[in-house]
Amino acid sequence: MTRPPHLLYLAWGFPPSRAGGVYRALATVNAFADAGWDVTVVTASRETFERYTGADASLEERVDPRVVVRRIGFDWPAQDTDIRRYSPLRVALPPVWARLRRLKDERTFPEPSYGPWRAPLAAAARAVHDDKPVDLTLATANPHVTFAAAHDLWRAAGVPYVMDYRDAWTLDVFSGRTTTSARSRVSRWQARLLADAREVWFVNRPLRDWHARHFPAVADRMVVVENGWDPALLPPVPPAVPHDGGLRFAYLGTVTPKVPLGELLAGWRAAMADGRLPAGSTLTLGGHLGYFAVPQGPLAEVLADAATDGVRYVGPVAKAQVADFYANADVLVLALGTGRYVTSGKVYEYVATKRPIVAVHDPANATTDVLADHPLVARIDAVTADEVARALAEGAALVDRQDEQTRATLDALADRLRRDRQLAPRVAALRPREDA
Amino acid sequence: MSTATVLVVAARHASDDAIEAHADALRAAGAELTVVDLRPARLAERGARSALRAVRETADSWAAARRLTADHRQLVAHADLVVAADRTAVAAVWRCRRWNPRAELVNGVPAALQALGAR
Repeated sequence: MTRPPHLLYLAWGFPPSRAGGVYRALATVNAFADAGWDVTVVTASRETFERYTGADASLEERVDPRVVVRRIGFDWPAQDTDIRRYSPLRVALPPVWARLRRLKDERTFPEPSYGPWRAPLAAAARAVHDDKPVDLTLATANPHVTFAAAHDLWRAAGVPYVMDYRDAWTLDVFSGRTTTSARSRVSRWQARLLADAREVWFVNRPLRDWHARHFPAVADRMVVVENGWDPALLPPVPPAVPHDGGLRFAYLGTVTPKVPLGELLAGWRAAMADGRLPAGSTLTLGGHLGYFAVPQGPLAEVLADAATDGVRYVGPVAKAQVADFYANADVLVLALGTGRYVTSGKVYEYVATKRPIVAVHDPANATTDVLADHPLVARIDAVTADEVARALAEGAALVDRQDEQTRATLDALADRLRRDRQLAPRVAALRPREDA
Repeated sequence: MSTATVLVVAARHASDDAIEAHADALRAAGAELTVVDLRPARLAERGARSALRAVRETADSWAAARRLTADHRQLVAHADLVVAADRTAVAAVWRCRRWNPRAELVNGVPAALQALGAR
């Protein structure tokens, strides 16, 4: 009797972490489990996410019950806010402490903060393989230490591995510049890991092509596995109900310093002040401020200042409440950092809501391709307050332009951009052949 | 129930408005707040990130820790939560562990808000 193939999934961020890449991780393991694979995940402890990134307990319930999750500890001294635990050196000479810490972190793998995780992660991966032989390892990054652990298992036991780049490693996706020299430790590690990989996944075409250009020998194993929206996480959002008063604009997503918040708020104020937006319109922002559990103070202050202009910040929105958040919006605002390699997970959800979108991002951003066929998008030519104001007004006009043809186009686009549609071909292709 | 909280400010770039904004946020989260102002007499802009700035901030943090008075110690001894509002205040807050073995000593107002929320 043949046994089901066994996938080992290595991820630092996994439910209950609320970090952006978690949805891809969740969908990936569920897709493999659905396709009949035995799936074991090795990830960080729950406490890691509660302390550092913020946790969304509702996400953990979304993991397919057939998936086995093994958690290992993760220590992150640089993010520790408990001053009692600080050493005298950290208090007296913080830059020296930080430098020594970084050297220690990078001893076994060149990745600050995450390097020390390589040994426990590789040991856990080996233990999973010893308990039940693994047919394929899929490692998702960042952090990239997961790639190293997958490589360790390949070297020790010959288990092939897939590298899933949710972001880039040696490319700054915002500036388009490389972040390390070709002879650096990071570059050498990346080249070695790519050379031995069974397959390498990227979230968009520009990222895939950049890597193919720099690592031509691996190009034929590099594929695009786009993000998508998850029907299991986002129930159908009802059409906006006609209501009195102004329009309800909404943004949902992590607000990082890369998000052009200043331009968005300035454009909003301008469009409200000169009457391009109906009086009484509101802009509601939901999501975490910054990547970590502790919110970024300066961002919070900027949003607090805008409260008098109809801007409201409602804080993080649990995944279970996301559909309600969208249901209370007439127009969605997609504000993203600049860069042609920048991609967004949220854009797919935005498409699924079938609402008009004001795309507040650099036109060269990879997200522009995702929205290319969307009939209700107000785009900006440049990330400036004037352009944002103009696009917000255009977005307001799109609310009334929803005919049958538009709805059919939106239905087709939303269906094409489901996450399972992106993953299915890879899950099928990676299944070990019966005769192998 | 309110939490006896001491907010320690030491950075020369910290403005009165910023301190007030921090204080408001902490009070709204349930803090019964006292601000300990250890800023040097001459305030200045923070400036660009550089080795020189790191050295100056380090020296400032030592100086701020030395500015803690007996009155400050009394305050801290009765606090449940002591907060370093900025990096320069960390050394002063770290010294507080001598005078209060049970208070939470946290780095940053956001972490303090989290601590208050957890109470």
